[in-house]
Amino acid sequence: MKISNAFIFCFLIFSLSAANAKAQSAISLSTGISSDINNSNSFYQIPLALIWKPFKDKKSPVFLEFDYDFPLGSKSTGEAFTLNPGLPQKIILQEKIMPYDFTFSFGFRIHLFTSKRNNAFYLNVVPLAICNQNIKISYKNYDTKNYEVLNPDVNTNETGFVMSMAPVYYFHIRKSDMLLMLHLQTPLLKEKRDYELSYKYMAPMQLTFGYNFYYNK
Amino acid sequence: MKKETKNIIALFCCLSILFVSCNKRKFFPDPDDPGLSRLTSRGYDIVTMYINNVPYINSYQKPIFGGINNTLPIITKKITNSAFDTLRISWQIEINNTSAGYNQSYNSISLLLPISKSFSSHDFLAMNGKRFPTDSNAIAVNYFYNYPDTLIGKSNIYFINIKYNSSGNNSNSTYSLSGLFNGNIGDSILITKGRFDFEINADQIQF
Repeated sequence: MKISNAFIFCFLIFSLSAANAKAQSAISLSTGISSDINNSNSFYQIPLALIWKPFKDKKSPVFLEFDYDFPLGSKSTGEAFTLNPGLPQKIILQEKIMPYDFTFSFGFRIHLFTSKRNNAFYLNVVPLAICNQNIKISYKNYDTKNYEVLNPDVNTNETGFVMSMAPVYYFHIRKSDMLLMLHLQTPLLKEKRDYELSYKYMAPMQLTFGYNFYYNK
Repeated sequence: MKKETKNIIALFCCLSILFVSCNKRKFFPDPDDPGLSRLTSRGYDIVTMYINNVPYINSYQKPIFGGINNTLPIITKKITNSAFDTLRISWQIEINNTSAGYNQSYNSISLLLPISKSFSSHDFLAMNGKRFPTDSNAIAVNYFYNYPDTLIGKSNIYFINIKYNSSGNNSNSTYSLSGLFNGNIGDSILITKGRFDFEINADQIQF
């Protein structure tokens, strides 16, 4: 089964089960900062996390999560060489890396504790999610006519399965329901690339802060 | 079991074996130069170039089992009667876009560098990072029907990386070899954007 088909299948199953539930539902929207922990030259991103929890019942703690990471841009260097005797035989080029990351997760949450003020700690667990990692590469002032970059990085658009977990703290400020979440995700669970790049599959670690909205109360 | 069922199982097994052996050859397309592989130094065993703007690549071997192997260069020291001998690095090549239907196809290319009579593997390693301009080197291409090295012209060669990878056991030691080249044979044959990346066993280099 193709990954896109698996995605649609999971979404439909979940949507149907959610539609049958007559209970309070919640949507969380949060943002913050994300750092890739699988690469030495870490990629920083602005994450946007949307969590949909359709069930009020604590015995049905499933949720859907959509994460999109907007790149802040990362810099690296590349060596370029030329045969042209009138030019320096080797130069260093500045490389710009723009990593985009989208993850669709279907998971469940484990209740850890609730304080007297009704603040709660949960652990969100996603045994398997689908992730698309799209990385765009450009070399600044690259003279493609005269120079060749050695072992160049190239644009990649790769999709695969990932696992993730996130401790989430739900709390209240005045009348607002807030959350603070530390989201940890594995790199893509797939074989190494045929062509070696200077970066590996991303494993974003997101620290986000946002609002929790209830509906169907 | 019926005979038809046995035949179907046998056919399935054959197709499975064929499928397992159908790997892609190593070739990493360069978006800036259609038909050429990227410049690499990772031992991918690829040489690509344009000959009169037609993309060429080293040919490959496809055993029944075990995937596809790009052919390796033949590196020899050619002894001559002059003051210098010649280092000859040759590849079997083929057009990398067979759909184009070109009339004339070259089947090998050689880089020819003058070297001293006492040239050794130590001198070979000393070429690492050096660029050799057209006044000293030659380049040769061959058809199936012409004598070797009769179509000879001038070339630029740049050995970006030559490295000896020792494993302690000479039979497993290798040389890594990558670089750039271009050249021309008169006004009629123009070789551009040549790039190579190989890892070959040390015992295949006899100097």
